Amino acid sequence: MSIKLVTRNFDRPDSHTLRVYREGGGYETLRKVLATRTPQEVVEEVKRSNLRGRGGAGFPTGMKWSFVPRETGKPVYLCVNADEGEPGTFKDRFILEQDPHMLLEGIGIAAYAIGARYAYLYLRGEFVEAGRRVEDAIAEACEAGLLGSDLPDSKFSLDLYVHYGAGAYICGEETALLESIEGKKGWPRVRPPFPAVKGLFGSPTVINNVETLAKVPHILEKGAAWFSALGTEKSGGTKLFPVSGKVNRPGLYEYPLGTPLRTIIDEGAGGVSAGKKIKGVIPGGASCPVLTADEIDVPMDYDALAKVGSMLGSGAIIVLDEETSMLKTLLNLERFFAHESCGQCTPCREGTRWIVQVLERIAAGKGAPEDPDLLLDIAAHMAGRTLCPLGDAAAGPVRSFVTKFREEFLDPLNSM
Amino acid sequence: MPTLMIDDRKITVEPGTTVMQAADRLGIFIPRFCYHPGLSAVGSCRMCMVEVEKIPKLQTACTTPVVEGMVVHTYTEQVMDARRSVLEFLLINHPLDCPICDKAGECYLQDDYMEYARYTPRYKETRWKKRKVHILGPTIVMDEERCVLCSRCVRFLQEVTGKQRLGIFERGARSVLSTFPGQTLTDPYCGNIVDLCPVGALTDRTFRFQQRVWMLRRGESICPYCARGCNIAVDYNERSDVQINDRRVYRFRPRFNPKVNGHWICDRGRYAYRFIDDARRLREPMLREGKRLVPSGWERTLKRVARRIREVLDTFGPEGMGLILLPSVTIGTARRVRKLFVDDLGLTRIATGPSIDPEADEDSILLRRDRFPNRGGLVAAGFPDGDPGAVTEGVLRGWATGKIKLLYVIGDDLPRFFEETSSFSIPSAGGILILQRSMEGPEDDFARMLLPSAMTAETAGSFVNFEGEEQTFSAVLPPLEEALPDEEILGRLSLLLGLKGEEACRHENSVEEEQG
Repeated sequence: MSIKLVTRNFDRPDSHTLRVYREGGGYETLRKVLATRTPQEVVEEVKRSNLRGRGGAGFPTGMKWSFVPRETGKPVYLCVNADEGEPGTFKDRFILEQDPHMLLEGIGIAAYAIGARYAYLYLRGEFVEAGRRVEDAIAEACEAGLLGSDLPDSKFSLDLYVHYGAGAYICGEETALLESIEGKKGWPRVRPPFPAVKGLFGSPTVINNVETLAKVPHILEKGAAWFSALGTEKSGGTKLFPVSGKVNRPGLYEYPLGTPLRTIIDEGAGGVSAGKKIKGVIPGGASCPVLTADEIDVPMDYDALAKVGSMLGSGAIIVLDEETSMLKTLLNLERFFAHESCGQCTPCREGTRWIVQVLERIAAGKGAPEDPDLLLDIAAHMAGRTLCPLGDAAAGPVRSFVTKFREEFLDPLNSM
Repeated sequence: MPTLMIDDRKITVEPGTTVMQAADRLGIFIPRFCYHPGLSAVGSCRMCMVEVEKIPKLQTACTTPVVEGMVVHTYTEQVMDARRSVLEFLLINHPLDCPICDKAGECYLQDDYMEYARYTPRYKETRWKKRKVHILGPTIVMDEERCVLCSRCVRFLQEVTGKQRLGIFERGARSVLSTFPGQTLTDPYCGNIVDLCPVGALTDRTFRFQQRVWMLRRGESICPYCARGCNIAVDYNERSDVQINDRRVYRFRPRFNPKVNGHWICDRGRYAYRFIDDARRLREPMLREGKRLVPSGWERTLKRVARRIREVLDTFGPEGMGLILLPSVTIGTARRVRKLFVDDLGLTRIATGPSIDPEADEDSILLRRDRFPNRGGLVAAGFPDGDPGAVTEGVLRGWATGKIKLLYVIGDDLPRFFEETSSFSIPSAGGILILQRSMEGPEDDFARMLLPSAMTAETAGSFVNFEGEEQTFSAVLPPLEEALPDEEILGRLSLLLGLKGEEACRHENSVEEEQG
């Protein structure tokens, strides 16, 4: 069953305005939290809620917050990752455009919990409309005394800056994002040190995804137990699932974690279009290994997807029907990763391009019998060996597509 | 202090040490491209991946801090597989132009290829074409196809010189190293990026296509061009057939010394290698005959020097002779000068040159304003410290006014200071100018005798740098043609002056041979 938390205002006219958000009780939770809860209590509440990061990696949010060292003498920064750019993923954009105040309330609570005086919202440069809505919302919130310096009845202050990206997917990787905010080229940093200890401008920093933060007001409003119970044992709450590809109703759907993939496709997105059969489904955005038609009863949560060799990722579901060419689909995905590889580390820089070249050659009818194994081998030498997760992201689809649909990667003439 | 095991060997290191540093200390070599001990570690080339027990993924040794009880393996099948694959990736676009590449013979990629690579290439696609000749500055040229994008050069300029001159532009496989628009590499430390480049991407325009590195021999010396005393390697070819000499120096490179220069040298010192075989080197002793200086051989020239010194001292006493000893000489030379001219001959008009070249610049990296390498050594040999500039002025005034009849100058690199405040022209009262040095100079026109000295790389001795660090070096090369080390020239001179009390002269025999 679909549950509307983050999406609850989306269908209302002017959902992006402060007026509509406040009609639904907006900013009440922030006010109550500031008045009655200590930052430590907020962190504990979020820990108990089993909220996990909605950006792709699924790291427990409360734990991330608790890693921030106290009293280092340096400011603590909160960075909001709104650099949503993976093919198939369009959930954060809806929040930014349809209900920016819910995000701002979440940012306020998170900043209070970790002790951040300044926050940065790193916005994908192409999100022009979203940027306008967010900046308008910040102006409205500041004017209403909800954000900004020296807020009434509270020692809490928060200045939020919107920083526009310049079009690099890699800047959604959290350390590349920090480099970009600092005005440098978006190259991921080596870890350790982790951002919680040494992040933005060398200070302790928490980086959270837009959807993650939009969940926070609900947790503080209704309690960790309530939120946690919505999901599975280890993955609390609901998740936004952008569904695209060969379905009747592509769009954004909110379901509890653990909802079977098939339910989201059939009930939410109206099933496969034109009565075709499913050939495969990418369950969590371009970087997640593809599932075959036999695997789509999997519950959509972090652990269940890991068990079948894929990932929840950003939750972006891409449905491929029986007429889809897996070769062309993989080529499309890998062109994206080759284009977006930052070029800093060797296996990702060279491997992504090599993979594209081999796929292009097969697509041009010049494949060789050893090509599928070559592709698998290149991917194997990228996975787990790159500086940041982009190498894994590029390798995952290759390994799953070529393993599960091997015959499509053999040149028909050569393989006969 | 964490203790860890690397390849079954135990080592205890300070907290914060990386696996790479610990392995280096044990002498266990882990291949690397981007890691350099003098720069920040970025873990980007992925060549140094090692196996750490209890961690499922391979870890980059250069960025992994050691932890108590860590067990590291640098030579397992998994590690070798990773090295093979990184090399395979790097070689995808690397041209096979080792036969014309100046880095061949000292190239990390070549070495690693021989050791770890997959010899049968699997890459059958179209290689990326990039610029083969991109001039980055007066001394640096870039071959974009050879670059492995390790960013060592970028980090060197950023972290050591504080200048953001180089960057890696574009993304992914299109990435390319370049200067920022409108900038060229003119900073006085740029030469280091050629040493730093692990492959043949950045080469030195003065060294390009000159020599194969395996034809060069390496000697160790000290840079004599400022008071820092950087440790240098002198790379020379013993049998060069393209030069009038039977040998030629092709480059200076830094030698690591944490107490003096770290990993680097400045370009002023680096490119001074050219002076050693320069056409302006003094090659044989000369005497003035009328308007011309005529090659005269050591015996005849030194006898004439000795005779003139005797005449002046006998007629005018020790005040009639002046001596300028520049701090470019070794401590040994300074001691011999003191014994000969001060203790035995009783000279009082002695100067050691101004400490500061007013037009010289100094920085917080290496370069010192005092362009002489051994001011401390002169003090150690008993010459006064203090304001040598004023003393030098005094001696020069004495020379200009005719009070000093004979002026003996030992040492190279007369700073501009001299030419501006005074000159070596012959004073109206007349006078005898004797120059003992390595290079020709405008003052030669007025000299009565020219005594060619060996340069630092041709000399053994020691210098004391501005921080009091004494550094001993030996001669890398024999002196050019007839030139001799200062100490030997002075030894011969003291014998000719009949100073029987002279301490044992190491060169006595050779002098006698020549006399006989």
